[in-house]
Amino acid sequence: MASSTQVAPELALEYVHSPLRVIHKLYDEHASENNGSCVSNFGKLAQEHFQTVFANSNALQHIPVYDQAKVPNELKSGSLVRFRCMVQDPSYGEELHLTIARVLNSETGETQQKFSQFTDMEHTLADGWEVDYGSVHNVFTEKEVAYCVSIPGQSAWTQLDQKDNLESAMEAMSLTGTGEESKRTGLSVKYPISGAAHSAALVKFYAPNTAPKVSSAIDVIGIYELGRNAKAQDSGNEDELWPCIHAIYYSEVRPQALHSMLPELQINDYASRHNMCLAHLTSVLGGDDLAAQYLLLHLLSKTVRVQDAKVGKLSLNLIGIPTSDQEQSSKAGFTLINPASKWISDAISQLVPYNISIPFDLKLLNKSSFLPNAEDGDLQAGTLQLVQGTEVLCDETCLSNGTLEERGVRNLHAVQTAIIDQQVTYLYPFQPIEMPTNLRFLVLSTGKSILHNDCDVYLSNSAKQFFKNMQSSSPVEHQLRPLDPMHTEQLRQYLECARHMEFSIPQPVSDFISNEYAQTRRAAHEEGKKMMTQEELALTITVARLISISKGESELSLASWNEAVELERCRKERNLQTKSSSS
Amino acid sequence: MQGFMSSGKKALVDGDTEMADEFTPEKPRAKYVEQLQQVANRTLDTVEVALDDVRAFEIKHSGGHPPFAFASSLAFRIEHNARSYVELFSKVVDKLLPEPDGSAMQDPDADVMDVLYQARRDRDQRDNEALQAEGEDSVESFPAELKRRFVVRFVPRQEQRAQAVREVGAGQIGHLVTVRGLVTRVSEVRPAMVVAAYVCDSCGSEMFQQVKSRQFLPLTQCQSKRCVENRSRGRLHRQTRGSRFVRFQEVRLQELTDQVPMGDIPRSLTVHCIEATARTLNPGDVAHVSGVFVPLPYTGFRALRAGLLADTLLEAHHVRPLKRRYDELAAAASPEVHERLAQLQRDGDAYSRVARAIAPEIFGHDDVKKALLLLLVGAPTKRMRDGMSIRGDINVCLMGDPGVAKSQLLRFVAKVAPRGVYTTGRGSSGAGLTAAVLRDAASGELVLEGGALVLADNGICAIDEFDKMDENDRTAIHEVMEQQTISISKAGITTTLNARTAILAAANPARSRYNPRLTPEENINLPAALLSRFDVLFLMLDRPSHDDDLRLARHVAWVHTHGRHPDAADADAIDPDMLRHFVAAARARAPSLPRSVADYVVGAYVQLRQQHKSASAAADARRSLARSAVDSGISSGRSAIGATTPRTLLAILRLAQARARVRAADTVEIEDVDEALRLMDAAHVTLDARPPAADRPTRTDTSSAIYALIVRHARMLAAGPGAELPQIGYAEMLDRVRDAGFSEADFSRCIQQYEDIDVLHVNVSRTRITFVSAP
Repeated sequence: MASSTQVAPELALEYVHSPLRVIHKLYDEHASENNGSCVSNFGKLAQEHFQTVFANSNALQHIPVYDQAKVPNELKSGSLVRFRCMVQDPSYGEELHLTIARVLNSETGETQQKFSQFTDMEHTLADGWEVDYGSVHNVFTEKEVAYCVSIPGQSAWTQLDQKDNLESAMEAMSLTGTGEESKRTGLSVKYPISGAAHSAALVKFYAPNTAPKVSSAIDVIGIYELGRNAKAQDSGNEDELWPCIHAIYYSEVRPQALHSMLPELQINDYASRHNMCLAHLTSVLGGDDLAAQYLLLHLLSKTVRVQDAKVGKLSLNLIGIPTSDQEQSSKAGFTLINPASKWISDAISQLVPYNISIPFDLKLLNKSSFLPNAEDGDLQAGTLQLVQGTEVLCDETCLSNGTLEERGVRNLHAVQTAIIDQQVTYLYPFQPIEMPTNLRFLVLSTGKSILHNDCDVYLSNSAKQFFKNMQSSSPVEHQLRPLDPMHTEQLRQYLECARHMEFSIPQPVSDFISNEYAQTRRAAHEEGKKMMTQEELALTITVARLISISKGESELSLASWNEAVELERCRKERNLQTKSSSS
Repeated sequence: MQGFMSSGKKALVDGDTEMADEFTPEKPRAKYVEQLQQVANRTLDTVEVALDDVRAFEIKHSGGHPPFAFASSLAFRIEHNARSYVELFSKVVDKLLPEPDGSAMQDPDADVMDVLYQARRDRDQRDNEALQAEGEDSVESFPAELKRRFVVRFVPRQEQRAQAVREVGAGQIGHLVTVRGLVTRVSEVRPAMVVAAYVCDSCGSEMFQQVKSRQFLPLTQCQSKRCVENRSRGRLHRQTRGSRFVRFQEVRLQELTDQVPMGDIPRSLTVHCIEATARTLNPGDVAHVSGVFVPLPYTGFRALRAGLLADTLLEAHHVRPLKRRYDELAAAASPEVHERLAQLQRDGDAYSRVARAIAPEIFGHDDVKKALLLLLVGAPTKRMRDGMSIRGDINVCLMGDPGVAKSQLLRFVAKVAPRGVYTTGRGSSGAGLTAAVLRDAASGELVLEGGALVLADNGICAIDEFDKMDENDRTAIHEVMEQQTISISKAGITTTLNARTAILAAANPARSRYNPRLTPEENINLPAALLSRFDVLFLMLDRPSHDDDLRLARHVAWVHTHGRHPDAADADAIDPDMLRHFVAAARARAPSLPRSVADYVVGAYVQLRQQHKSASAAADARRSLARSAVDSGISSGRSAIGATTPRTLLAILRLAQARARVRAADTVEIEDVDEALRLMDAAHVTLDARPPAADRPTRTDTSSAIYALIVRHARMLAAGPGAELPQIGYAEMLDRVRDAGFSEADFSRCIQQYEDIDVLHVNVSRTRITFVSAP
């Protein structure tokens, strides 16, 4: 292969604009080397070839980003595209593809072989030639069709970027508002946030065994084509064309890799970043530093599975957000009405790659479905079908008196299961499938939440006042002050790096914790007080774990442990005080 | 290819003919002759050819040759090219079909097809005679499919492995494959046209068209000789009556959970069931479906654009529905699973090891877990000759302080059991648990809707916060727990629903914490009628124990450090899936109760009754003697909770039987009974460790209890039974006494009292305790 190592920009253009030609060339080369019989490993070959061509991010920039709103004005069928997406339904269909077709000339009796891959298009055959379907020389390969949607709750800064040329920007602007554009979005039932505009495409994978799993976040590089949606056709409307992407290769999206611009985070930087982050969150929460500490720990948490147990997760309930007096309008859907909740949600979306908000409005709870459902044959998305590491903000402040119907109860139950067990049930007929997930839940409520969380924090009086003022003031005033972009970037990097840190507890600290636990229990028993339970111990250790990684320490130190115990004590004290003063 | 086909056909014609002819006297072969006769008699519409028979036939007929490889056999060829062989076999059957033998002859007028066929034959004969008179060849005008009244179906070899949907791929196109899956949807059974018949409006001749795909382009112009010659362009009209239809049903088969790799979702496959296989499957069935995997080219508009693509489906040949739940699990178990189960039994102590696999994240509570394992396994249900049945399901109640992980245990059990339902008493009404009669909004009809208990039929119903349930609602459970049915008479519906479920309840003691100052009866705020229905009642009290607390904290710290359980290091850890297989295997047994063991049980029961009687009689008399506190041991504890009733006897039997099942034994042995008794007692041991406070409210009683502890500890340290009691470390003893829930002040007071009466002696530095007189 001549063009394997260095690729000039001009050459990359050929790959972008007519990838199929490149593939055919590649196949011819390959076939002549191997005497024909070589379809089985060709997909891998093509993948490797394209991967080397687009190895650096600079070359990647030349590939247009797939966006359904721009289809088909800007994207030409048969060109290479990139698509950052979530695999909503990996089993959308299986197709057999006639990769090598024997074609027959009915007049002369001549035969030829035709190769086709990474496209659904029929061969263009000259007059008199036709495909001999009965031939034993035909080779069928399978392709797995997956329904992919843009990642739900994706923050603006996580989206794929590309070198925009002015032309396309102008074109996009001129087209907005024509009304037709708004129609071009994926199927509403197949997107977790129902009603939200998003991009969707049928992505066809040519190596079914390595196709991505459900709800994973991937970057697909493939050939864009308008094709037919076999499933949508069953419901009539046969003529509608669907965007398809024939995946040449894909890679999982790694949140840590999203900050390639910044230098790698050094261990000594953790302390300053930690302080910076804490200061920022304190200002977000109206000066309540205890709540800010817990919010930071919450943002750093992730679920680690230990057989059936889940450790390291910290779902947080912030109590004391004032109720909004504004009515949740029926059209609002998943947008937050309460300015205080919106404020917190906006602040978080600046920091985390994926976040969604669920206002606990009765209508929404009773109407939407939170669990993915395949009982009608096709897997429909539920609000909780999200990629790993998504921040879920539940706004309970807009919940009012009323009847929760069966569906509402199921939805709340689904959220609760996701909080406790980190599991989302995919409702398949006769056999619901429990899928492990990794979501962080932040519940905002006025009183204690109806959901059971790992940790409850009552806001301080000053913070409550801060949020109350926010509601009385005009909407313009509580726009979140934009952070210095450099700082934001640093905070994001800090959060991702710290979150993925290794963690362990050295033996002496472990012994110390054990002794302390046993002694506190005994002491409490002798004094006839309530004893510390296993859950409380687990929570304190989780808090210690998160404090430790927030400082960039991968081993628990005694200092961090004591800090955790102290923090927990403060929290419990405040919770008790607030409870007693309110009652 | 052509050559192979014809030779294959020849072999087939011979083979099948012989098969049908030669083996008439032999039983297994005669079945084909019988089948053909039935087909001729119209009592059967399918010719089922078992590949096992084909193979056996071939081996028998390979003559003197050594047994030839399967890969070159006819059975193999059929398996790999089933569709062509269906056609070949049909032709053979056409030839071999005998005349109806009159035994099952029906009135021929009743069958429209026969009448039509007769008419056609007559007409053709006339036409042919006319043609022959003109010196031309006769033409066979109607396709064989039209007169065929059967379909040929292959039954796969017994040893053919059932695959998962995802394993069937492009490599198996045209093969006969067997797929195991869950039926999620079935369509209505519709007629599908196989041969379309048309009548020309100008020449009157009949035209036929074979339909091979789902959609077809109807003929419009008459192709008959006369019309073509006259260029009359006669229009054709489709005749529904003259066409041949088959029963056709589309079924959706989905992978089962155990076939889906971790983190993936199930795939599904479309199955076409024709004639005999139609209507054999219902939604929810698990079945082995064997059929030919065929690509179905897209039709209509789709075909124009996507000529290279094809959808795939399975043409069903043979359908075998499986039984559900545990049976199904047992059937699905792979040889590796069997091997691991056998290994588990060989290694010994499977009972405690499997029990530990229950909710591994919860520390300790080994006896509770053992009881839960027995609950999962259950005892076989006895059905008496008079139709009455004695329940085999074991009901367990966990009562304990908040924070002892009762809910987690319940959740785990509900999750592991194939039909487990988890519900909380606080959120359930009686109707929600049993069944409700609802008026359907659309039709206005009354419908029965099953509640948690009905849904858990043949499974386990875990009810959390049992004590928070409304008293009236709880009574609804009485019936379920003993009779295992739910009777409803409401709004004109009177019926009895099955609820053969084991109940696992969790409850908090009265006033949420166990209060040692009250009697056990006062602490357990459930009515006796309900309590006696539980086979085992566990009291899980949260009390500090230095050793356990240390172990627990270390465990939690370890999990955080290593991201796994300490014991997960050995590969023998039993995961929930393995546990399910273990339970399924255990449930398959029905251990019997030998005479001698039965006698033993009766003896134990009688003893318990007497103990109970004397215990209640002596309850007042029994006071403050250190010696008696030591000696009465466990048995005094059990009399404290609940009465010993005939139900207790059944409970012992059930537990013993379940225990025997766990041991993979076919008979109950005395050790099983002992274990059952031990478990029933284990529930109360925690209570024993502390004096039943109601009986001994005074200080002296605390002291005697501590003294009992000291003696017990000393005996443990002693060289053997009867040996002199050794000295005990003061600090060590203090720790133990504290663990048992007493204060240091209590301890020193006790030592003081017993020093005063010269039973104990403590040295001056207060480090060692010595027994002065033997207790």
